[in-house]
Amino acid sequence: MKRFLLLLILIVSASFIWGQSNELLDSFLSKEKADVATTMLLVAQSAGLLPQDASPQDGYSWALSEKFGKYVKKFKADEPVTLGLFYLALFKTWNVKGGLMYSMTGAPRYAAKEAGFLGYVEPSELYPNRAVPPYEVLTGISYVSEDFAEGGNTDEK
Amino acid sequence: MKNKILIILLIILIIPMVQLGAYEDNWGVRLDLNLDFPEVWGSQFGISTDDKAKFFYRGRWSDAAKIEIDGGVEFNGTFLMGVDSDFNFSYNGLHYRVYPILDKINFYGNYEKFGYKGGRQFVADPAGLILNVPFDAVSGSFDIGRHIFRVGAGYTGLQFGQSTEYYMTRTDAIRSWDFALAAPRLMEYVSWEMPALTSWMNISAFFLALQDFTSTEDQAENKNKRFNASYIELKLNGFLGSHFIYNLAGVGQFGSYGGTSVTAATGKLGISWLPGTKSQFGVNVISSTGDTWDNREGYLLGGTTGNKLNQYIPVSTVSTQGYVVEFDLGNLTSLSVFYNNRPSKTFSWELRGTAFLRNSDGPVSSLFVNDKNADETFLGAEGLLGFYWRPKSDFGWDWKIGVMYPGEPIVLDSFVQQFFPVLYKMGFDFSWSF
Repeated sequence: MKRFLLLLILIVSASFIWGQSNELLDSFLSKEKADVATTMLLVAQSAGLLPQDASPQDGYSWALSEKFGKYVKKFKADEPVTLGLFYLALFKTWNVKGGLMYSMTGAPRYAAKEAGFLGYVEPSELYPNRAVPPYEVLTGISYVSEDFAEGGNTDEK
Repeated sequence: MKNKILIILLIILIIPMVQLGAYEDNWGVRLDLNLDFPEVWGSQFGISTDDKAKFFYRGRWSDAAKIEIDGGVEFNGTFLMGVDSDFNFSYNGLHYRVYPILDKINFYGNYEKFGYKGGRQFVADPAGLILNVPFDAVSGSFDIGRHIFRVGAGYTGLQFGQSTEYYMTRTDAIRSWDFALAAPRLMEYVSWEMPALTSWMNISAFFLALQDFTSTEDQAENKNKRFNASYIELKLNGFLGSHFIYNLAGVGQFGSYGGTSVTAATGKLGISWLPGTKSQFGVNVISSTGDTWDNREGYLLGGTTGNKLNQYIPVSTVSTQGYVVEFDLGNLTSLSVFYNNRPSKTFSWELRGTAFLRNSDGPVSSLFVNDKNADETFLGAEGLLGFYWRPKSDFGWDWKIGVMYPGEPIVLDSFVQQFFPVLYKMGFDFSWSF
């Protein structure tokens, strides 16, 4: 019952925030592990970089063309997205600045650590190569879009 | 009996193996660099540094099968200098030690509400008044409703004596300097915790027993006897209204040093006022029972003692008080008032004033207190100002400056004392993790 309610809340809030179709979100949330293509689509749409009617394949293509595309290239579109890759795409898209190593390397593992530092990921779940469940993708996007809606963080933030 | 133990071990191993899934892992490195100046060493003074390079590794097959490893290397050093009576400056060299650290290497997991861990692991009491040390152990935890229980038992004598902080007897002190294993002890603990007992109270209780297996040769060589002890702790904490937090804890210690009985206690009370989200004003009191010089030769257990001892001594160095002069728990009352403020997310500062007193005319942990004729209880008062800056999530530094007005029991070398009518210390800490 709790799981059903959580899914319902996520679908309603996600469709409200991004105008994403319920069919796509239903399909996404029914998966055990979030796939790379849909995750990248949702990340891009959360920042208004892709239209509402874009497909997961459009999201994957968009991600490949971004600076972090070299890390996306290591995954097929339908493969599970890892915690590190998800937060790398999300933080780069939302211009979230991170620690020294994240700034210097722009690597997924440091994006995951940054997500841990910001409190988005429980310390006990902080494995950069962990396959992320779909609800965690939606909650992660919600956190970042709320915290960094002004266009990226600063040292004072 | 042996068969039963074997079956239990097999079950513990089989549970995680059944659930093996994709392997997930994480690792990292952390560098901690420190400088403190001046450190007074007898008739000399120096710049001290305590630097650590530590790594961690976490691996998970499933919730039921995980591993963790924490290790590294530590460097302690002091650049010693002196000034003679003709005011000639001399540099007396770097005195240092380097030693390995292996704090954790264990297999752990949980199955429904039952958690288990085997291998080197940390044990700490909830109030931070007894111990915070690694040991080689088997432990378990389980939840019953809102009650959380933990039990564990293990051995201390397979660790590097230099990197652990067991500090009760002279043997501990010697093994913390020599390249040797820590003193051999068995420890068992049980804890109970109930978060949110009421809207304003969390409660926890902790019991620890330790048995000392220091060899007869070590006892003779280090002039100390075996110290067997048990500790029982109760801690309460929570919010009072929306602007006050409190922390109250007490520990009773019962033991035997050779044939001498030991009955001691320590307690602490902290109350803080949170006027907003960025500042805190508070008062902390911590006090522990002590012995007189007639009953005890020094802070650590060793040498001859009276028939009955009452000085509290924690298992490891925890809740150390003071910055300019550090005092460990035992024959000490520390009363501090502090204010801290966080003007931005990356910067905070703190101002703290602390008065130190001893409860008996006897030894405390600081070697500056060594005059058996000085019978004042007032040890000194310290003012401390600290600035803490963390510009990035993985990088930060802090700067502290402390001044201490010493009481009569603090005795410095007479020549050095000319330069230090008031003691002071300044320090930098730098950390970077990746």
